[in-house]
Amino acid sequence: MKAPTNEALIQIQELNVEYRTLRGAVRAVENVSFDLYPNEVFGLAGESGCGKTTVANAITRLLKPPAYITGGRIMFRDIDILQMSPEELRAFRWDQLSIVFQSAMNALNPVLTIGNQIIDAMQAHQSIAYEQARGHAKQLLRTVGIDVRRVDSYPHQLSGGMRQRAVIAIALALNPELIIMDEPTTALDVVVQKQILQEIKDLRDQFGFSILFITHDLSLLVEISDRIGIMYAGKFVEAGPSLEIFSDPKHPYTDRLMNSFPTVHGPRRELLGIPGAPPDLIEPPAGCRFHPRCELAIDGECDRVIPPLIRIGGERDVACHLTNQAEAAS
Amino acid sequence: MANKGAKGSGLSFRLWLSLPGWARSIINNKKALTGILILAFFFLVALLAPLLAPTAPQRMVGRPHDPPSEQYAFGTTRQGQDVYAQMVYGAGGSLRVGFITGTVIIVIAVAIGITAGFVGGATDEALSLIANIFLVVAGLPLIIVVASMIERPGPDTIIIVLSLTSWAWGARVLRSQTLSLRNSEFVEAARVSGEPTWRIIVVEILPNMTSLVVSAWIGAVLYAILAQAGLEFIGLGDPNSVTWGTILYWAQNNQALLTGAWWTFVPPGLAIAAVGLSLTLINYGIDEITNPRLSSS
Amino acid sequence: MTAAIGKPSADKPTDTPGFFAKLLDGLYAIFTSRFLRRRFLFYLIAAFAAITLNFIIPRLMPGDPVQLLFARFQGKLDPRAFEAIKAQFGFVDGPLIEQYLLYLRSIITLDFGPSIMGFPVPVSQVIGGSLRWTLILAGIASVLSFLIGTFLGVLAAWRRGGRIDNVLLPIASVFGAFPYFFVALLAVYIFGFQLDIFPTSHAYDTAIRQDWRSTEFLWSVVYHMILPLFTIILTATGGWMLGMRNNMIGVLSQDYIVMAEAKGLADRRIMLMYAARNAILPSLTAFAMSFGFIIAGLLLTEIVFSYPGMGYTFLLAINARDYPLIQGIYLMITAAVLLANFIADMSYVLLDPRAR
Repeated sequence: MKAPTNEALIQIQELNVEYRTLRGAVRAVENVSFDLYPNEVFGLAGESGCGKTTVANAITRLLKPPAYITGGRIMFRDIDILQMSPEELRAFRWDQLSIVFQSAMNALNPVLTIGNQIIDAMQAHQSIAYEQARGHAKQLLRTVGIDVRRVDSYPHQLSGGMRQRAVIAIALALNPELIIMDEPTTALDVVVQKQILQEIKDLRDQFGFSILFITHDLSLLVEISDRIGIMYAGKFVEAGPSLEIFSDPKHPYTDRLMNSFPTVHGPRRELLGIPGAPPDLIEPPAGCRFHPRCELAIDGECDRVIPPLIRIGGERDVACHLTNQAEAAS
Repeated sequence: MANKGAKGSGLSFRLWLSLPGWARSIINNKKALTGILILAFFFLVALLAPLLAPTAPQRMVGRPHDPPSEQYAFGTTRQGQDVYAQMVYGAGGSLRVGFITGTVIIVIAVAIGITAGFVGGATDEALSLIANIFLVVAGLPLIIVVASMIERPGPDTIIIVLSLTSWAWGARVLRSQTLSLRNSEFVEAARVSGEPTWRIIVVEILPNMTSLVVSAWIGAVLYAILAQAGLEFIGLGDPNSVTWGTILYWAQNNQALLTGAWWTFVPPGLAIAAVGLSLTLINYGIDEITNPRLSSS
Repeated sequence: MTAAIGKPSADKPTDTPGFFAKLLDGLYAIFTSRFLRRRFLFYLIAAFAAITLNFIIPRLMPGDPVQLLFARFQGKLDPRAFEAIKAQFGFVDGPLIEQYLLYLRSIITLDFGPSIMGFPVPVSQVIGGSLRWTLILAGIASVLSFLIGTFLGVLAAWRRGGRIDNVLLPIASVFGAFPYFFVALLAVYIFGFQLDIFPTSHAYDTAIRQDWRSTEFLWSVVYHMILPLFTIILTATGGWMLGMRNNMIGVLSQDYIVMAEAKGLADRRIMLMYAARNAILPSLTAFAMSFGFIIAGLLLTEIVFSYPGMGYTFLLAINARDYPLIQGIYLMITAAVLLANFIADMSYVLLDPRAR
């Protein structure tokens, strides 16, 4: 795994997103910051509803009302994505940043051939003749392991795994610098899941793009990502190199999340799950948002004081009073 | 969101809360409420006809083709009948046929649609085939053929003919809804627990398609009112009965267009359109209530 | 960043697969479609059912059918004609099955017997004269109102809360609730009799010789068609518009629309190729299913405009109780509806690859 030494490709700075509902504003993402470096895979994990997909949609500016970005900057190299005009945004999308959606069945237009959906993306951004684009599309299909004759197939004629590969091929169409993958393997069975994951790793090595990998399944992230950010109730609770987080999770939530999934390799162990449900974000709990579900919560502190995200040595950040106390004690 | 008007005083607010949920959402939906008010107006007119109209609709009361005046607000027909009296009495004739026919149509459609969807297999194949055939070969032309072979088909005949030929659309819609409900978990659970078929249909399936049945019913009423008016307009009704359709028939027969007697065809036409609009509005409202994304606000 | 990005070039015709290749693909899809073969079989069954209904209905009528149907013509017609008509309907002395086979034979040979009101002109000839006007009017009116309504529905959904959605849609819906023939009456009264801008009857100026190659005649045909066409479009557009709008709203929340937007496609392409292309499929099914209703409205419209199509002839036949003509027209209308349905099915196959 490469060390992230050079300049960041994308910097998310103090991002805030809220959903304006009839009951009040839901603060779905609160003060989230992280960087992503060239050729790096950054994993974003958390239970469903924790705001990880909202972060992805904010980066691509695909949020629709009632969701609004209320603060922060998203710097792609030295341009703020949030300040782009509609035309700049149209040119930027897919050319430099593409997305692999969660469900390939729903992400593909059922009435266009796979080939035409790749060609569409190319023709929207480049002056390229149809036949030439078609040749390129075939090449892409071969790259992701689909028979080139499938270029004229419609989505319903492909298997689930093939559809997901096709979606990846579309994401690669313009050779972007960053690909956001939102649960790209969730809908697939375990065997196909492993193949696709391997495919993604190989493609990353071949093309050198960065990946923002979003999943609720932490065990997938150890397979693929260099660094991980753990989100809970719209906030980062922990971030750092994936191997370190796996061997030594600092935040009680990370610990619980790791135990709620079987690892792909590793011995079988008892799955603990996390009792309770994520909090209501219109009126989030005071103090640490996880404290109502946390066995280790300290009365009078965790339910009063918001724990800041603090660098605890190396590249690890944690937002937990317990860790902070332990650090202070050592 | 509570209704603004009802929030004011304590009593009406309590009354508001005592209403069932569906009634509240209908009252809160502007389209549905407008539709219901328009419809209620025409129902009142139909019920109170003898009080509202001073003269019998068929009586010759004035000179032929008198334009609207103080005495006859809607003018008179070629036969010197009071158009206002005809309109008031005609409301009952048109609404009665429309609502009875619509109800019979929906009863047939529910029976056939749910049977086909729930029983499945060969029964479904056969019933669906019949419904699809009726959809493409029936309709007004078939009704005209039947009606033309009956001497002076009165309102009751029209009810029977329309009902027997017009159930297919509703049956088709309700069948596909039944199909998707049949595979749902709660129906599956009821079946496993050994509930009898009729009970599953009455307790589990029907309540879950109420809004669909209601909107199909309203659609059928609308269709029946328009079809009745159309049949009577071309002379396939009893010309001696008083309905909005026969008023139009006589207007056309008496060259109202040529002589400029617009008051003999505009009121019945507008009345049919207003009832049609009210039914359409109610259906749009139901659509918006069941699928809030469609609402225009 | 902009250096690598050229202008979108999807509009150039050379950048899409050739028209001819697409046509061949389409034809291939139609001929190999199992769905279409099944539909074709269904239409055959439906046609057979209509023909049989036509045979059964007079025999289901209360009283002695022969008596009921023909009593009023006894004495008015010469006995030879009367016997000819009876035989045409299979009303011969003999078992029902024999009557039915006799009837089937005459239907299959398109021989509906002589018309009563126009005796001895055969029914097929009377129908032939009026069929073309109905087909022209019905074809143009239904396709135009479907296309206009659908297109406006696309725009209404694409710009939610815009003027088309908030103003035009309610207006179109109000007209949609009007009975066709009432709008037709108003149109004839206002534009025909009062303002005297448009003709109030017939399909062309009868003073002009009927010659389809003369521009004067063609213009007269168009001129006579404007008002009936206008009334149908006015009343029929709202339904398609609302239907398409609601389909679009469903489709617009699909992931493939979000992905198309993320791909940086032009708005117009997302609206048409990604959203409308999918949203039109249920509309097309509804279009096919409602063709019978459209024809019904059209018949009444023709009557108001004295437009010499099937509807007007139908009325004349009804008034004269010309049963051979009534039944012949009914069968022709059914055939037209079935054909229109099949055409709608074919376009469905072209538009939805899943139906191939």
